[in-house]
Amino acid sequence: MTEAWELGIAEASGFLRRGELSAAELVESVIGRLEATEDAVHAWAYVDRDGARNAARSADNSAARGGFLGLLHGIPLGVKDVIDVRGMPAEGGSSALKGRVASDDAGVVRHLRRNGAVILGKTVTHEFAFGQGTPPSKNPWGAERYAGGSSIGSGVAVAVGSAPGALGTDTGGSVRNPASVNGLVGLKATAGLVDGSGVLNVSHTLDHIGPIARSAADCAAMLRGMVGPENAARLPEMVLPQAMPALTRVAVDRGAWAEWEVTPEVDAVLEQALVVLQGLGVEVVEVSLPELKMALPASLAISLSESVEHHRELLAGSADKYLRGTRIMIETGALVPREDVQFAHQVRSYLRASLRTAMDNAGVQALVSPTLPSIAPIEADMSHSLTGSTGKDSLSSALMMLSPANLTGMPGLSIPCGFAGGQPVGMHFLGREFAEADLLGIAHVYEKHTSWHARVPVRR
Amino acid sequence: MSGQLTPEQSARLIELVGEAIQQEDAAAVERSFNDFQRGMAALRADFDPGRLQEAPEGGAND
Repeated sequence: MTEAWELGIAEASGFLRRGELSAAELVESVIGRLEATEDAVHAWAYVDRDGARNAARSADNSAARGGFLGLLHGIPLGVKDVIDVRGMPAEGGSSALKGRVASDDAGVVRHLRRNGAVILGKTVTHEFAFGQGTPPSKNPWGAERYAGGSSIGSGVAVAVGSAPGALGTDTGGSVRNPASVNGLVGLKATAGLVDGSGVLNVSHTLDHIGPIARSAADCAAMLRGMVGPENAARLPEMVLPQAMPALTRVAVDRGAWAEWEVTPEVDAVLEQALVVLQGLGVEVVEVSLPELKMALPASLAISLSESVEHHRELLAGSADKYLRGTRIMIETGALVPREDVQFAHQVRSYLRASLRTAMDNAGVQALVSPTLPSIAPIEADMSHSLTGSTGKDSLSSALMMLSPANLTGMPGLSIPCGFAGGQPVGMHFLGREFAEADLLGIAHVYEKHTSWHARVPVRR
Repeated sequence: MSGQLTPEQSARLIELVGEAIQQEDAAAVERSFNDFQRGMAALRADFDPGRLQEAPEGGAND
């Protein structure tokens, strides 16, 4: 029999709405799962059991009076520890902020609460979301392997079932990358769609808050609950299709895959996924987009230089408490010449226009690629350098395919599409601005005809 | 830049992290910044809108 913690958001919401499950029961089950797994996977930085139980009771009381707030009503969620939740520790994974407690909710958390969500706690992050160091969270598919980052705890928590969904932040792929290595769905929505206030930023022009969940439908439910009333009109009602919409067309740039050194095993999984998409009626066309490789260096120029201003005050008193790797990234940012930043912004404008035109010309809804060029590397063998040359086991290579979405503001979605060497492989869709519903719709129909997303939560 | 940080660059880092940490980090920051500069040089070489427009970008050639 399925236990409540195994339910996805959309499924649990149905049970709650029909009165077949209470929010208190759901939260209790999820807390039980958390307690059964946490010693092994270390996904959480802080858990507010009492607060979650109280919020669940309140949700049940409200539902009993007919006040059902939507798909997230009574659903427990995790929040990456760079996003403020009032009254909870807000340390950003850093000793430099030890003891800091958030005095207010981040904008996105306010919206989640308004839509009925129960905030269960804070999930582990790489320090200040820079991807440096080795947080304690473990990949449930192989404890020695990279578990993704920087939203590492969010991915692991959702993968093992200690939350049905969690928020991450994504400056160059940090939602989609942990989604991929944990066998989950991760979305970086269009720039500006989700309120970014109340976040410890790496880069205010590249950071995006995004959901990590176990299905496209769950991701859609989270996104709907994350968007504030001021932006609701930009997100069309998301009724996910049961069959692939007519004239669905996606593009692939296999030349870029080769240049990014996609491994043969990942390549084979993607090719098979494309065959499945074609079988569902998706037309796949080949394009060549040499400009894609410009996104990562331009993103680094912008993000590292912007990070300096976000950390100047804290570094002044606590530089010795930062991880050395994080500090070196920020110091590198301080050396980036102004003309390089200006040039990177030129590239950004160019890429935004060029990718839009390319998608118009090809008549496609999305550009499809592997999310990562290889399966999750062995953590100990990985290079965490952001500025160094790419190799299949480097953090830089993990960002190559993902950073165009951050730089251009276009939405990016990663979904599980198979396994290689026992590890999940992600398929990435780069879409048109504010066309999240198109991407989630394609993903939803793909999920209905495959079983990859059903491999989570991982039992251990 | 290759090799050591210039006095102006060192001063900028000292202002940010203090002298002791700047000295501790200097070699790693130099390496990181050199890597960054190599990436920017490659980007400048790639960023030729005229040439890119001549490439078969975006046109479906199915």
